[in-house]
Amino acid sequence: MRKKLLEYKNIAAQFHTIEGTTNTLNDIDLTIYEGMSLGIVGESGCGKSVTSRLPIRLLPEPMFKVTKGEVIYHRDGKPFDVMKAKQNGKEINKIRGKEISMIFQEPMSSLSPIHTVGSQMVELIRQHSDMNKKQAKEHAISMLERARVPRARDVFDDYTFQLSGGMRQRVMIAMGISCSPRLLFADEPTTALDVTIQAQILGLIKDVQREQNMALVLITHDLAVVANMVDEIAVFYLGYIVEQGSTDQVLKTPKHPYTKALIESIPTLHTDQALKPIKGSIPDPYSKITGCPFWKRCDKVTDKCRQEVPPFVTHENDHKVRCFEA
Amino acid sequence: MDYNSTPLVQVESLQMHFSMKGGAFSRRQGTIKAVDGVNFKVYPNETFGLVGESGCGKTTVGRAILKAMQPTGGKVLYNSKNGETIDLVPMTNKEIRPYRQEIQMIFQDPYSSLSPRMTVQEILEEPLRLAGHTNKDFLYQKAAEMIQQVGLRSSHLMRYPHAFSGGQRQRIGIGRALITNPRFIVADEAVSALDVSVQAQILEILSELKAKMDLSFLFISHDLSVVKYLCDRVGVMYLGRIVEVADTDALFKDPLHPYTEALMHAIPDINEREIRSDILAGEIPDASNPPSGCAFHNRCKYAKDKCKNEVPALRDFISTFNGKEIFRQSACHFVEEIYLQSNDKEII
Repeated sequence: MRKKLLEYKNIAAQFHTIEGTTNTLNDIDLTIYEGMSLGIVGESGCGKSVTSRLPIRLLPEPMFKVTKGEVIYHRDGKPFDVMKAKQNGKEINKIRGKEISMIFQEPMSSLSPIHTVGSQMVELIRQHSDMNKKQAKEHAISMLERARVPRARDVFDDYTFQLSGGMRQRVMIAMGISCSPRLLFADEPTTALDVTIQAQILGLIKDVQREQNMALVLITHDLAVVANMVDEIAVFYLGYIVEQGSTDQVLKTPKHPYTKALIESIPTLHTDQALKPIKGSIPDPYSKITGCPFWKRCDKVTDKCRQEVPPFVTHENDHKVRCFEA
Repeated sequence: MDYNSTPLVQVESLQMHFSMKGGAFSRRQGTIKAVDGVNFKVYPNETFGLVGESGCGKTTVGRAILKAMQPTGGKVLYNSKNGETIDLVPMTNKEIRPYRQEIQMIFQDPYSSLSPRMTVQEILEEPLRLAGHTNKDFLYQKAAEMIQQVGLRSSHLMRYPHAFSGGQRQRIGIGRALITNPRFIVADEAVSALDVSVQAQILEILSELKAKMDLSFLFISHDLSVVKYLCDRVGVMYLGRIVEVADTDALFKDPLHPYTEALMHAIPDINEREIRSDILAGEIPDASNPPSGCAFHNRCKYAKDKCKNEVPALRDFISTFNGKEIFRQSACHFVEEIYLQSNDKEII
């Protein structure tokens, strides 16, 4: 039996801005188990990043508001409702960066340009442990080494602008794992990198996950990136999970029209298939959509799709799909 | 493709060197050889792809051809509409203006490449105005035709760019490039900023319009899968030089250069469940201080002593592919030993 680590229970969330209200997350039901690896896939505005920032409360409240549901974090067999705690209170601070950690897309903007790599890492480590400065330094260097940073002792004293993009992302990973988190969110960790560096970083993240025995949630727009990285995939569209299942289920036998279309619209090196673009574009986040979020771009649309949101139905072998026609 | 016809654009030993002047606070001096002797040809109605990692000089090549930057050496020979072959490099802005209608550019970022203060109509009409057209009805007519060609509606002409999504903006950018009936288009990462579902639409529009309007493209991209889908021939760049040129199918099936091989191995595949172990180590070297000999030798798994000392030339080969003899180029000392079969040979 797999042990639950983090649960999203029927989450609905909105952003209230001057321009209006967006339904950013709708009916999100997702469980992350200890040691598992999950890929969250979707295009811009689908709510994938918001989902990752929610359990560590990194979103601008009260502009961002959870209107329904709860996020439960399981620690030592005790459930803890993340949304009921204070946003920057003691309990959240214990989790954020220590037990649940994060790697961001843009290492340059998420690392401080005016502190050395070392001082940023030591600060984080000492925040979450009772190590003294010397111990923290040694720990930081061993983490840099674990992230395969060459000349880790020198890099410790470097500023982030002195490093290349790939090296910055390694530093980011070293920081992310330095407090031995139970869960690591990696939000588009390789989107800003070249393909050869991307391959190196993905390999590193997978190695580190195995070594540390932590759970990994990899967030990306690129289906090929998750294909060899994760056990399970959840496909997001406009704040809904439209399909969820094992990597093979989702990529080899997709059931939702959006997942199918997404796979067919990506050019690949290894097949000579013609591309089938999805018609239309992702709707404006402020527009109100009734019915299935995908019906305007779907080939199999029926009257029912235009009026009702399809339920998230579990098919054989835990393959979940939100579509009337599946 | 007819490779015996006159090339539309012929780039000969193109050079773009930037000097780093030592200011009061600068510790570094010297030259960055962003583009160092690049040769290739683009034939009529051909899409030539230029791929490589960031910092390899692919964007600089595109800009130098358009003379958005003045190359420090080499030739860009362009075969113009009236049949004469001209060298764009020594020409002044004024001399080049008549040819600007024939050579256009599509930019990467659909957000920063459209002026927020101009309506779509003004954006589309501007290249025509610059070409000397003043008749308002004619301009409107042209803009209305073009916007439908790229899959938008003429009612969109009155709007400003902020009212459009990224994919729609890229369509406007394409419309602006095509409205003067150009013959040659430089597309620099034209689909990289778009969501995957929209990217496929734009790729489809590009190949559709290419056939319809008899266009030739220089398609610059870091994304090999996109290049494979769109391009007829591909040049692979590494640190300011072209290391391999071949027909797209041949390049992707049997690469003739270790860098191309490594680049293809690095691309994640949707059907692959294990991470490859033979991925390329290290990073692209600093262009101000490139490695001696073959610039790729410090990351190459086949590297020998010769690679450290001698710069390999881009050599021509005749190789058998799918039962046909094809012409291709590779800049590796050991092409014969590593890749070639017995019936393939170098042209001397």
